[in-house]
Amino acid sequence: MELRPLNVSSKSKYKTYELFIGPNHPGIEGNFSYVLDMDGHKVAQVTPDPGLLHRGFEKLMERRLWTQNLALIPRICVPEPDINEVAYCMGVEHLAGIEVPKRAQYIRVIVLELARMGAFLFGFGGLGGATGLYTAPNWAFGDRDYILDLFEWLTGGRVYHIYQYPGGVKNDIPEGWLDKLSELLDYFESRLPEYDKLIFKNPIIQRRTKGVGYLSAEDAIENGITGPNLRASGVKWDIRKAQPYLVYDELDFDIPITGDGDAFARALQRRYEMAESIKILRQCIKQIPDGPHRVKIPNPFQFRVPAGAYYSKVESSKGEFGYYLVSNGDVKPYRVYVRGPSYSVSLFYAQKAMVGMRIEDVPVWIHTMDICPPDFDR
Amino acid sequence: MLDFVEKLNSMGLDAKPLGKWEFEVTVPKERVAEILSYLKSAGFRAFMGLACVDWIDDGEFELVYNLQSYGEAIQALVKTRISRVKPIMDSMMQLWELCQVYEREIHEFFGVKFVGNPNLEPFFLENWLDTPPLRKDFDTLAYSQELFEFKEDETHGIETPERIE
Amino acid sequence: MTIDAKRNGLVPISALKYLFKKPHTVRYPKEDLEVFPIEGNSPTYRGFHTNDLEKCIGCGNCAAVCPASAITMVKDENVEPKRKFAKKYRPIIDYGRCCFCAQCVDICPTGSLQMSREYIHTFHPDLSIAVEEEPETVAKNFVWRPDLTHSDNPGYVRLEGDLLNKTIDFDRTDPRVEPANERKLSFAKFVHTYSREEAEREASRCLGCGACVEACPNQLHIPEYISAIAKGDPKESLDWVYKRNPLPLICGEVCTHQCEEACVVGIQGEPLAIRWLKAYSASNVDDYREALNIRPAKSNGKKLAAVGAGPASLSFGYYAKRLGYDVTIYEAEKKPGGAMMWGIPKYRLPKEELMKDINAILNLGIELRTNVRIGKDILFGELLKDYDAVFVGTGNSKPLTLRIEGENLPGVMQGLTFMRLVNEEKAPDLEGKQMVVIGGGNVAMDVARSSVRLGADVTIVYRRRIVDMPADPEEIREAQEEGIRVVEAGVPLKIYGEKSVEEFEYAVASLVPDPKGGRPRPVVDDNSPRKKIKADYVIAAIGQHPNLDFLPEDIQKKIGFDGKRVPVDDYGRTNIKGLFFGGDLSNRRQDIISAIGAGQRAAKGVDLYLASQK
Repeated sequence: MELRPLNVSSKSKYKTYELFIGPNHPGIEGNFSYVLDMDGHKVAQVTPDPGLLHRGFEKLMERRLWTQNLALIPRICVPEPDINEVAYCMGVEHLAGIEVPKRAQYIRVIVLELARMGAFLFGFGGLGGATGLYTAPNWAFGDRDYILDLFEWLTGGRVYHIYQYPGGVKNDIPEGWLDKLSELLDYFESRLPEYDKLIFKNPIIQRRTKGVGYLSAEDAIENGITGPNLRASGVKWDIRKAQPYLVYDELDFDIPITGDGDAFARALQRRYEMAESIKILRQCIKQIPDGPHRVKIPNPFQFRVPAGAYYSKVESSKGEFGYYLVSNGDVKPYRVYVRGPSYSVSLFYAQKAMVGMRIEDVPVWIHTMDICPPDFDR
Repeated sequence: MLDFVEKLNSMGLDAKPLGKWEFEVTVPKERVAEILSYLKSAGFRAFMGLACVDWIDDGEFELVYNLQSYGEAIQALVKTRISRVKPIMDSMMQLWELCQVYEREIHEFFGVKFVGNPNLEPFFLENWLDTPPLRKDFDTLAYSQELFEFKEDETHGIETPERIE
Repeated sequence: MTIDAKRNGLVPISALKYLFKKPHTVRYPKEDLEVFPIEGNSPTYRGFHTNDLEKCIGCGNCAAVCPASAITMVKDENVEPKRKFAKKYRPIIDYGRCCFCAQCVDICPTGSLQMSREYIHTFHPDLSIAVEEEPETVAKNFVWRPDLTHSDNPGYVRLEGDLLNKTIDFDRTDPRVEPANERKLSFAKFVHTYSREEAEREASRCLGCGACVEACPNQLHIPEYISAIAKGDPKESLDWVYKRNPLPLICGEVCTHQCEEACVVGIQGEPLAIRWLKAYSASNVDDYREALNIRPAKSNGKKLAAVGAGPASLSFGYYAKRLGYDVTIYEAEKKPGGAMMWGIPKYRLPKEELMKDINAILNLGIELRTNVRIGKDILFGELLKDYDAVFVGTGNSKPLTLRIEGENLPGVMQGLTFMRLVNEEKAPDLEGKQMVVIGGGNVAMDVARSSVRLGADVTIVYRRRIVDMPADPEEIREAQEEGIRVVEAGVPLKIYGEKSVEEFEYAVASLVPDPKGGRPRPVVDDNSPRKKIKADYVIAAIGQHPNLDFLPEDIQKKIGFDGKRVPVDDYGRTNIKGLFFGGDLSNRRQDIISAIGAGQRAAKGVDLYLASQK
């Protein structure tokens, strides 16, 4: 992208100019940038500029064994890595016809919901950062660390867990872990009202987010927007309910709908869903059955997935996260396509949505849309 | 879901259920626009993505259009094959405007030309002059070994056993 | 469930109360995390590796599975591995590449590679080093060989009992076997060849590390041919086998399978059934020559002779033919195969399977002259004169005798003589007869089990314990299943009988442990208890020596034959130019695969020798 010199008009200094948001910007998770053509305070044109984060995961996966890839793919989504592992494993299991034991499915749900909560906290922090409420990031990241502690105990790693395996999960839940999880949920329940006070009732946050970046239900569907953003626009759609995978059909939870379609609705939507995640986790603790946590599969060097193609998906904190896996019956995948939920929002819809927006609303829009560059710049 | 599969089969296409919530349908290149437009009107309004698979041995690229119906809770994978030698495909932008970015990406990584797409400029890559990198005939290992000092060793340092032959 | 999101300017201020609360932050190292049952990071933390260098076998599976190519295997002559067949390679890890995914720990067949909770690595930079060279110094400091340094602080480890089992299916798929009471009624083969499904499942357990290759006397391409089976291609598999073994079906049925002893999967479970897998690929290809497109090389006009049509000569003939030589094999008996034909019972190796392999070799254009006894029909000297080179693979055909009183009574036989009668279907009627078999090798087992099939009641008398028997453990187990009694520490004393054998007397020896850790030594003195058992037949299967009577004495002397073995080098060369030896008469292992190896190497040796003669 070549830089244009500032267009200095004779009437007003700096009336139109080019502004880079990113690639190294604290308001964006990952190295990605928008080039904004500004007209005074207003955005006139948006050019997304991806590529700085492109690591060629899809190609790299073709060169690695089916199970070796499990160490690679969590890196596609940094705030919520487990969705990659689970979606990938579910796809492999579908192709190979592996039946996953109930206990493993419950453990997967626990991991997914914990990761979702972590990602939402990340989002709260980001919103605070975008609006200048710096207490929010401090709180959110501090609380997220408690989730990471649990992950560290369960899986051995804090951020990249590399815990799923075709056929189940690598280790069973350690003794006492579920009690600790229960305590953590108690803690989060006591914390949520505090977040409400700090963020959602805060008049400054409300002023900054209400009415910003309105997205109608129609536009949301047309532009391939999924997940909480879609629900914030009033479309009742959640893969966990509509096309349940794992054991979500055995769990009782609601799909909250805010429906206003603006930035505040999207932020609030995540706050509601966090409460639902706590509800799901509580049920998992109660319902998780005894039994094996995996079925055995052939060793990595001889693990051949029968030829075929399947699209497996999970509902992530950002929307539909899918893996299109193609196997030709070999020990390595023939092709893996990753569908990141941020793709259509940040690369396409942003070009329309941000036009006419004031410069200070841009980070708010980015954060409430939960744009996560690694999942499209993969 | 079976209604759709039957309906598509009656239209002379090869459709079959894929999983619990998904079906796939293989469509000749010329009928893709027609079928996608039919599916869109039948409720598959959300466009979830476009994947490309390089079947180098068949000399074909496979494009996979991924649609979701929120009303029926069904996912549709519409597959079509195009020639690998002269990969040209119609753009689906008149159905979903957001195809623009998906097609732009596939043009960059596979070299498929989409007729009707106004912007197929380089997207993710910068100054890329080599083979489109996601094609099967692009060797990442050779590329990185040429570019960097790193050498990957298949033997991992273990000598093969001595054999008198 | 809706929350009250009414705007309230005062509530955010309530967050100020946290000013006086304990912060999230842990002031390390003064404080440490208290969330886990132990202090510090989690008990399952994936930190730096530890490796028990003595337990490690250097198989390289960790390096092969590493998704980041962070592991290199480096040889260290100073390590002293505990296990037989262990290599001296040990993993070196580049922590600049390692992503701590623990896949190496999961795959490690011995469980020696583990992870600790240690994750801090510091080093003192050498300030004298120029700034430009600093990155290299830093990089070097991130590469090291894990040993037991952090093992007192274990993190992600695999406990005994859940070792390789962690994520990998390693339960052996055994072939279908006829139950003992059925199989002992006939000479039909009782181990069924794998079905396609069984073979692929069994083959998919192979890690591909090749630890087996070095255990194999002829270093077959074992990982390659197993991998081809797992892929569902028995033809490709057989192609790999054929590179170093032209008798695949025979070895598939009766090989001593030392590879399975070395198999790393066997360390924590059952080793791969490598032998049965080979039998599977060989029996799934009908015409080897056609399927593998085996063609002899263009004839170079040189003539070679091989004496004895056993595995060594057949292998020699095959590989020499493929090098372009014209080979003639001389066999004293009416059929080829040697000990494989006359020694191995049909329930282990049906004759059609044997002939399938042999015919595939002979059809290549190798001349076989049966009923020609060297030294009688043709003099050995003539062979040496008429041919460019001569290979001798006559094996061991002179049985050892018991050297006890009564061994000349009718009813006392040598093991090989008996087996020959069995294979010619001329064995005496044994229905209801009492049979004593002396010895603990595979021949003793063959004799005993064949006798059971002929209706005899069999007792094996062996001078040490069952565990010390040189026979394959599964042979011993199967023999016992078939109702054969085994007498341990029994030293033969005397055979009684008027016209034929009536009673057999042995002493129960006391076993003196070997101070070097070898097999115990049986000692018989006057106090040893003596026992007698009824016997109609006594078969001695206590080993055999080569019979080289057909060689002129000066040649015997010149090649250094000591009555037991002919000393040869790797290529089967002897002190006489153009005379090559191989097979049981020159190697210690005395099994088919060693003979095949000797034949193949001798073919190469002949090639080298004749090339140097030009």
